[in-house]
Amino acid sequence: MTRDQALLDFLFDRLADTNAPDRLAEVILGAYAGDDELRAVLAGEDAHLPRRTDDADARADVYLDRVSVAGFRGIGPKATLHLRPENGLTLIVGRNGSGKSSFAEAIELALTGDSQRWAERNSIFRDGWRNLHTSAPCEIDLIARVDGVAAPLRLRRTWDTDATEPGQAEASQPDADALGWRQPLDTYRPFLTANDLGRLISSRPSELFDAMAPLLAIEPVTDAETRLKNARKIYDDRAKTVRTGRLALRTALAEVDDDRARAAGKLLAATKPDLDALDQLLSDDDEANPAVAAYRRLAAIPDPTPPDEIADRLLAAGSALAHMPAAPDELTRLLQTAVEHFDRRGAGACPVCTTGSLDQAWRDAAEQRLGQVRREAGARREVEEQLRAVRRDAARLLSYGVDLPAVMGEEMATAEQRWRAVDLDADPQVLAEHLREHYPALRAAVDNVRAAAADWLRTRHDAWREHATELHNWLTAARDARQDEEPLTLLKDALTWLKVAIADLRTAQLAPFANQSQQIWEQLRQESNVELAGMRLDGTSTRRRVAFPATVDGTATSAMAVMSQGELHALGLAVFLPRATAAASPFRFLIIDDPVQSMDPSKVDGLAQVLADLAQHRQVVVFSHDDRLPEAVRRLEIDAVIWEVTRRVNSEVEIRKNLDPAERYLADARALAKTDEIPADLRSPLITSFCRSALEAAFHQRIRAVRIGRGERHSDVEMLIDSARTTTQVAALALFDDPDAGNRVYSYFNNRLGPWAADSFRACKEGAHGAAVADPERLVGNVARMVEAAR
Amino acid sequence: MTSPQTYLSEAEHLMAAPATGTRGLWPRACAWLLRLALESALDIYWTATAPAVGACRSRRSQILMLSRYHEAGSARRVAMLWWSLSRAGHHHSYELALTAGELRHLHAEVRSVVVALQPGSPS
Repeated sequence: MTRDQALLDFLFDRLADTNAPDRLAEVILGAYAGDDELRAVLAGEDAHLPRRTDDADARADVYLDRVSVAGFRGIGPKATLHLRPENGLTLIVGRNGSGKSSFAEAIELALTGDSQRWAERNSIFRDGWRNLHTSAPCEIDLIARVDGVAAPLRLRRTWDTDATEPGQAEASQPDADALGWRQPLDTYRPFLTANDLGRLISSRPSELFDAMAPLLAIEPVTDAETRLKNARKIYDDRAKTVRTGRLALRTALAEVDDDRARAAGKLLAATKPDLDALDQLLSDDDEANPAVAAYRRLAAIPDPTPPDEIADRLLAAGSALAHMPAAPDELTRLLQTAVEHFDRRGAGACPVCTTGSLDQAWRDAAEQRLGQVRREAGARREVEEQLRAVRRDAARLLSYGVDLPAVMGEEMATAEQRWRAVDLDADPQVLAEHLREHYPALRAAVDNVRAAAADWLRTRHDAWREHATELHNWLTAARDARQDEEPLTLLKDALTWLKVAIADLRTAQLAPFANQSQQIWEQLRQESNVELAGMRLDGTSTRRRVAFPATVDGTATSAMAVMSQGELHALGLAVFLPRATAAASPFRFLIIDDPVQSMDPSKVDGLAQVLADLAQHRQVVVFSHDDRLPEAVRRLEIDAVIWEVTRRVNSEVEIRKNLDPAERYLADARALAKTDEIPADLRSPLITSFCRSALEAAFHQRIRAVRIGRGERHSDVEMLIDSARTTTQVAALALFDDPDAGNRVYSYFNNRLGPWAADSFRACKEGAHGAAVADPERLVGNVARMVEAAR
Repeated sequence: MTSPQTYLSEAEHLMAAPATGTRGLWPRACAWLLRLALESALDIYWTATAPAVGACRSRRSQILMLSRYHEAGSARRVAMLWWSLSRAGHHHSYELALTAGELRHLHAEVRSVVVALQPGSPS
């Protein structure tokens, strides 16, 4: 659509003007194009972004040709309202209940399928949609003209006799939906009723905003803003989860007595933690930690060797030694020395006793004896050696010890102490018994140490594992969030950019409407002291409103606060007429129902002028319940077609051209003069009555033209006219500007126009009350000349 | 002199079906016929009751006098009717013709007043 193209052009121009980076431009255009495109752009994927094009489709203007209504609301038998399908002003005048509003409603219903009025009224009112007198046929037939289409467009709605709701109509095709009119009908609403005006002006500020906002036709851009906001919320939420997760983890880890927890806590203290370090921490398998290594060792310490074998060996060596002969004594050494003496000196006397003799036999016996002693000594040395060895083993066994952290070392230390409390050189039996006695306690202590170490390791593992899992999850989210940072920054930038753009766009789009409203208000306000200073769409979301800054006698205020009912009404027109006649609207027609309610006469003049201006470029159709607007239109010599609607009994509605009132009375008088169906003696007073009314109407016009032309206030003039009761007084006021100059009226007619005029004037006055008129047609002719002269 | 009944029936006739060429003029024409019916009934009444009053040219005075000769309630009704019917018969700025409903009501009122003013009816 051209409208959207214009918005896109605006965006492209502005992106270029603000030198927006490519990525930012992509995000904004993606948001403009739709949710999927925005997601793709943020994910760095290919997206179908809108491009600049030059194609523009032409708007097809719509005008209304005529509407025929039957059996609907106040209209019984079929009645047709003819409208000229072109620019210009058409007034339809009729008393309340004459059926004119039924036409207005019928047009709205034919186009929208349901009229605003219907939708909001109660069921009792809704029940009255069918005509009471003529319920069949029930139909609305609207003929419209669309530019560039030769055949008239027919929008027809018919109801079955058993239809109970206006919505149950059978609609001809294509209907408004098929024609694509639904959205423009909502946006521009080329129907204005007095109720609409009052309601919209007095409704909540946000409702008025909503009524005006579509007019600006910037939804594609505000939709883009909404998409960006939604996307930002998703990213924001994720980032927030990571932030709160970091704090929660930190708090939890602070209570864990674990070096990894402390390390993680330290890393998490930064607002932007080192994620790689955390990752490293998680993948660490604990080998490097000396405490853990020590505990692992403790958990795997071997049992102390059981002492039984050593004890047996001790006992065996001990008992072997006990049964061995004593070590070689001095005698053995003496024998050895004697043998050496023999070997050196040979046989001889014994040098010790000097009585005996040392000979070869002695030597042999001595040698044998010495051999025995040496063998015994060798065996003993062997056992002694064994004992030393077993003592060494025992010493090793006794030296068994475990290097323990102080917290768990007490039992072990006691056990070790007892274990070692023995003299290594003690009797083998004592030693063996010591080993046997204290081994079980030592063994139990070792078991306990191992179990405690395993326990410690398990606790440490468990305590960390829980937090490690959490940390791991958080880390994954945090890594994603790091990925999100770029899109999030882009989204924030895009929103900032778009917010300013929308504000400017809104102002730019609203400006023509605000200006037009201002102009209309200037024309309508006439004697009002409220000066309107434009119109603004303020605020967003729940605080959105339409502001009407105004000044009252120079003091700034809000227009709504100080206006009277009539002024608010006029303001409503000033606000909604520009909407209904927006340049972009395909509807070149505008239906206004009863705009003059509670307006004072001077405002009616302003309204007539406004409508005349609008009618230069629009087909303006105005329904009015009294003659004030037509009167103003005639007096201001505005080109307009005026229809009068009357309704007989049984809802028979008649529509006839409403001419200038004087012309109409004359036409009526002329018609009666020719009607033979009414007896002549009855017709005569009717004809003169109409002639008299024609004169009065002409005189009223003249009084008004002169006095209002002089600058007198409308209301004063109307009061003066009201006070002139008789035809003569009215004539005097018109002819001499003096209601008391009645005595000069006859001579005026006599002198100015001739005796026939004075005679006709008299006939009008008297004939109306029954005096017969000789030649009614001649009288009508004379009066017509007098009316002409009075102008 | 045309009788009030003639005016009344002609008015009724005009309301129900349009005479040729009188499309849309019937509301004002009816109103005037009803006024003529009322005036005719008054003339007959005064001729029979007080010819001197009937000779007076001012209708306003005649209607004011009525309360002296006739029951006060119907005198007020006559005054009301005469005022609204006269209004319909003169040109008034911004005012549109009477509606069918208003005319029906006025017609019924005039009919009953005409009956009340008939000589010999209780006063």
